[in-house]
Amino acid sequence: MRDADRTVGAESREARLAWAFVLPALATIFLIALFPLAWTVWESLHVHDLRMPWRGQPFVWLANYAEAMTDGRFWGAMLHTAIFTVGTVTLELVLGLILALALNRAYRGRGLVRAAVLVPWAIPTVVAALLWRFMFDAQAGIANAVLIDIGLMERPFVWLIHAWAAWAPVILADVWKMTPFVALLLLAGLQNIDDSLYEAARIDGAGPWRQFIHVTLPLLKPAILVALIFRTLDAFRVFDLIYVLTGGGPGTSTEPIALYTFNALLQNLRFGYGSALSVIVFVVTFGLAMFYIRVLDVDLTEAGE
Amino acid sequence: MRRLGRWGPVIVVGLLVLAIAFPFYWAVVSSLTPEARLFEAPSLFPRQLVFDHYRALFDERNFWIPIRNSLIVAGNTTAFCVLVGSLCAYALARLQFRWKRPILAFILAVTMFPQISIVSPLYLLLRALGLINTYPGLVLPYLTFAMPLTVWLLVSFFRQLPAELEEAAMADGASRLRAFWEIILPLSLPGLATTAILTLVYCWNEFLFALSFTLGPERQTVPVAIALFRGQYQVPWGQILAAAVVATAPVALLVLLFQRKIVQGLTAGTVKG
Amino acid sequence: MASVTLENVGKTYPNGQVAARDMDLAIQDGELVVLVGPSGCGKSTTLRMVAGLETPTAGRILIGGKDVTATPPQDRDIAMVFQTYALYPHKTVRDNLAFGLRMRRLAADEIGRRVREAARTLGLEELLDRKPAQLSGGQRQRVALGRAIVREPKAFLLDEPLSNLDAKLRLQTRAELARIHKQLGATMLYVTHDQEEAMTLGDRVAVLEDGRLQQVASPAEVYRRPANVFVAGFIGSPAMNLFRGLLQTDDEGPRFESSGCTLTSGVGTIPGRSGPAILGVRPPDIELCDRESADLSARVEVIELLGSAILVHLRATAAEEQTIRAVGPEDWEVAEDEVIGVRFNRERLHFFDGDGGRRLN
Repeated sequence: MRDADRTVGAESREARLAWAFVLPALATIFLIALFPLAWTVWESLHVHDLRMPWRGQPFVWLANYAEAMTDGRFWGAMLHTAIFTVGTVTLELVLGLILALALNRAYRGRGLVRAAVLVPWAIPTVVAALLWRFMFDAQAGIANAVLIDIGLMERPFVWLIHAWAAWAPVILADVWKMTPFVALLLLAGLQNIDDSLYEAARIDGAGPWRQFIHVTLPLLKPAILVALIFRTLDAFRVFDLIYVLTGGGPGTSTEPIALYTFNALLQNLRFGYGSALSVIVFVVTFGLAMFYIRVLDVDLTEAGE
Repeated sequence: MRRLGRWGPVIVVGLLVLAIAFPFYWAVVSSLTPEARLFEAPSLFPRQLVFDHYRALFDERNFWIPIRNSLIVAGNTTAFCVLVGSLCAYALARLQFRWKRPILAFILAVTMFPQISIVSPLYLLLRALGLINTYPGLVLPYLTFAMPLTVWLLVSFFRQLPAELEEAAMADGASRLRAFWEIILPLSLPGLATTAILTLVYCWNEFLFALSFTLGPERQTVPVAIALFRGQYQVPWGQILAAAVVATAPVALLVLLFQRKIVQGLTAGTVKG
Repeated sequence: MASVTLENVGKTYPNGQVAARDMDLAIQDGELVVLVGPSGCGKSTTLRMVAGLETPTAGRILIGGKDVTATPPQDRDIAMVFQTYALYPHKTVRDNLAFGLRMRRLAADEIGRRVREAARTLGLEELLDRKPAQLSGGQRQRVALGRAIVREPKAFLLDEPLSNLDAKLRLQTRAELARIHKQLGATMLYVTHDQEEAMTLGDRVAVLEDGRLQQVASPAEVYRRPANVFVAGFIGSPAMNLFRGLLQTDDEGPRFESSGCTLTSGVGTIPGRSGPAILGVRPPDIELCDRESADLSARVEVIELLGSAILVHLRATAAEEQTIRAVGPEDWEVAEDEVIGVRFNRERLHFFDGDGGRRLN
């Protein structure tokens, strides 16, 4: 008994130190992330309109959520978010895989190329959005100039006033900015594959295509899943890019859910309703993450161990 | 066929790098083109280069102010995160205690938090504290994404150091704290620097919080300032592109200088290896 | 220097895995005890518990008679040499050596004196200003050793210190370690998986298997009188031959019968009891003889030349599954595929209980 007490003493000393180290950061995260999240939930159960302070903050149960369910603009925003997410993530994974495979094979100048592909990822999204808006500008844009030059168009096309055409610069900009990042994640995965596996496959008579199907893809699966998760969750939160590129327009035809929420909160100052939208965004993101982790069986905390 | 096998990847990489690099080239060229020329038929190779837009950017628009704001906010956030986060990350990477894995999972979960979900309470909170349109009013919200990011990156850096080093230090008579200070910290300087750079870049690029919690040009950060550029009659593309180049240059420079370390940091935290 | 004592030490990990069970071990002041066993037997965990890097879940650990079970490693005054050496890569050799002394707040001139002395003992004088990355494997190993020596600790703990060296350097360093041990009169606990290293270095050898101490005795004793089947099979190379069979005692005296061989003669060397048993015979204790007086007839399968001796792999003619290893002089008259008769040296038979594996004679 006495022995047991003492050994517990040594372990708890380490645990005490660990808590002393962990607490400041953990407390910060609790205070500025978790506590506000709870506040958002609370806020979402009230009517809270900053423009009409005289109405007070009556508790309205789920009225805000009920409103969202019948709000056409909300469903539109969800649809736009889904379009953007599926479109960009698919393109980025496919192009990223091609780029990663090519980078893995091309030895010369790989460091330089790796640096070059990192830059779009590292620059502000706002800047990326502006570059692409400029390139798709009706008058000054090079996109129109090129399309006219090669004879696909006769006169300049105003991309941003057409509901479907406006998606082109949006999706292109995101693919341009994030594909390199996906490629780097996949490249790291590729470099973890032991070369001798390819040699073994070749000796067993597998051609390049079979090597890809039977060696590369299965072993790259964890990296692909991680890229998929990060990109999906990121795309679902899209805000900066569309705010700057189309402003959600024309009308609200490219408005994603994060932008609609932002508008409800800080333009219309409807904090109750905006908070309800915030909670919905959170729940969907959380659900997506859970889905990936449970269904696809990805253990992210194991990564790097 | 063999020739294609050898040159195929090089060609693919070359084309993709070209596609990646072109918008930058175009932005730089356009930012040096006189405003009037911009709206004529664009040409790939400029005939005349002028610095008008850059001059206007700093003289008329006081672009120094958003740069200063961004540096102050990003610098303070990063310093706080690396200081507090490194202790937390060390404990999570090395010390034995219950709740370690749940905490790690929690921190990872917070890195995936949609920022928009906490804009409303943060706005109300900062307003109540009188911090709207102030530096602390940006640093505090920035901690929500910067702190988990820093901790997550540092955990993977600390895990790469062999545990025997601190065990040797402790057998040599150093306490945990002393071993952390004398052995672990000096050895993880590259990791700390990489983490600091990544955190700086994330803060420098942040848009939603900066847009929500600032009111005017005196506290706006670089991305907000650029996004809100307005001209009298039309979009001032020349100045916008000049500002874009100015906002991109430091980030691009950092990335190019530290690319090897950054790639390690980005991938270590996400891909087993 | 001081004694190190383990009393009923046990370690169970939270996941239920047991690394050490009820371990009793007393290392005398100035003694070198080698903990040896196959990988995963708990020897490293045991060493780390003595160092304080792991906490036992049962029992006590005493250093110099003082209970240190709950004392953190930095207050135990032990020195440890790691398998990977764990040299501080950002410090010079000199600073690596001085670090432990600095932690103990020794005066600067005393630190300088001790570092110079250790450097001289190990021939590191030329290397003091280099960083670990600029050293060869053998030099790093010596720095790791030096870092322990300068400390003049109560006890040295060495975790497979030679396993990262190539074969030739390992032999040299082994001899050097023995010299240092003698010169310093240091208490040492030494962990290895290599039974030859254990036998040559240890004042005593502690054989560990599955978290349990199997035998603690001098190398000669462990070799001549292994306490159980595990120790018998683990210590000695080539490994001991083992025959499963039955012990019986009737009017003609004690008898051992197995499918491969039957031993009748030899009262006094065969235990007088009945039941399942295992007979152990070391390869050098097998002699050639004519077929009539043989304990066993066997076919020669492969002959390996070991240098001054040969190792002969045999298969019993009466029992196909029973293989036998015999070591004989170079000029032994055997040829592959020949059927020969062999005899076991009656003075050196080992009998073990067929159930628990405990030694019977």
